[in-house]
Amino acid sequence: MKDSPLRLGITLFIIAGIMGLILGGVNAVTKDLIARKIDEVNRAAYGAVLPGVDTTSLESMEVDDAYADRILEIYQAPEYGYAFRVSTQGYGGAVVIAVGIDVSGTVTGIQILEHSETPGLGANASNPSFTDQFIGKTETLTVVKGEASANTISAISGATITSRSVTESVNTALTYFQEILKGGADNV
Amino acid sequence: MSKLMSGLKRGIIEENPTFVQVLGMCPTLATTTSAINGLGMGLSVTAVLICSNLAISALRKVIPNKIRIPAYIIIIATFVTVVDLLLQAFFYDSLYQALGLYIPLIVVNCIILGRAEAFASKNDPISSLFDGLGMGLGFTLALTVLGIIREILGSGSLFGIQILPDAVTPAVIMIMAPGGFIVLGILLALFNHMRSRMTQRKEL
Repeated sequence: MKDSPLRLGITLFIIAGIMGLILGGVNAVTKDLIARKIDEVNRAAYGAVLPGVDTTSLESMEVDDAYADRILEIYQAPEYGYAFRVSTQGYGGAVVIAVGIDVSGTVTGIQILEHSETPGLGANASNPSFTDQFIGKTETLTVVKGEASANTISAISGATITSRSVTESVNTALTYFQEILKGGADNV
Repeated sequence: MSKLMSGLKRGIIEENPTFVQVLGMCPTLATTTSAINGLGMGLSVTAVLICSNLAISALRKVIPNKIRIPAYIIIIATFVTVVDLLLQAFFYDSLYQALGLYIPLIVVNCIILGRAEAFASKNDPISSLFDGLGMGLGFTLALTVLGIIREILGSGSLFGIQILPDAVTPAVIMIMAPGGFIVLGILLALFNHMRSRMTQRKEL
């Protein structure tokens, strides 16, 4: 009787219940703190890709449905430009980057926000030697293995897939700007 | 004091989770691509090991034998999640940036369930705490050494600082799976060789 399935089930249910309560409690206490922290970090990242912008002026915009699977967030800095949060599949998972584009359609900076790329290879995409290449670009970019030129990006040696993923994200942001945001008119 | 020493000796040398028990191989190979990753994972596992060993040992007389595995898993998963949430909320800029990536990975580490079953369920809380500490430190030592070797040979750096001259191209295979297995195998052999010589000397 002591080990009957019913008693075992009830004991397990009680243990799970208590653990569930603990989890719920900790979650309730930390939820707002975490949300605030993430917002702070995001604003800092968007500020980094729009040099000189006042991060408190950043306002969230709605993303057009056609792009919603790739562009996760857009923040607008009035008179200044836009910061995009774009996700593209990389080598080890999604690579999420921030792209800053000013009102003339020029990339002002990019920053790798999240990735699961290989340390020593794809993870080197975070180095300024790679990300600085994107500053000043205005047209759709392609990845090449050698020297970069006007509309090409030099790939990281041994990390072509990661390089392509980041470039793809920047292209998505540029395309979005050119097709939807340029002209300044609000979307309906 | 002797409980602490025996726990430490057991976890770091006699029953080292990586080199002797060969437990937790998946996270071992995955997180030792650099020294800091290995160290971070090791310390995170140590924290969870201490807490879960303590909790399970305290509850060992209350949990029925037949449902002990599901009960341990629920308790361990709860700890890992609580550690994750607390780190995010209170140490976002410091510890979470360094270790946050590894916390979810701990759930798949069989060392934690292994020690709960083999030790914490049969011993008192204080011994279990030291056992968790010892095993965790042994794991951390193994991961850090593995990470250091793979990072130097595979990326030419140590804890992020470039040490190999630019002229020397690192062996990229070292930060991929085959390199990981090779280094692990060699360290396994070395460690157990040293351990058997230590035991021989004691018997003389």
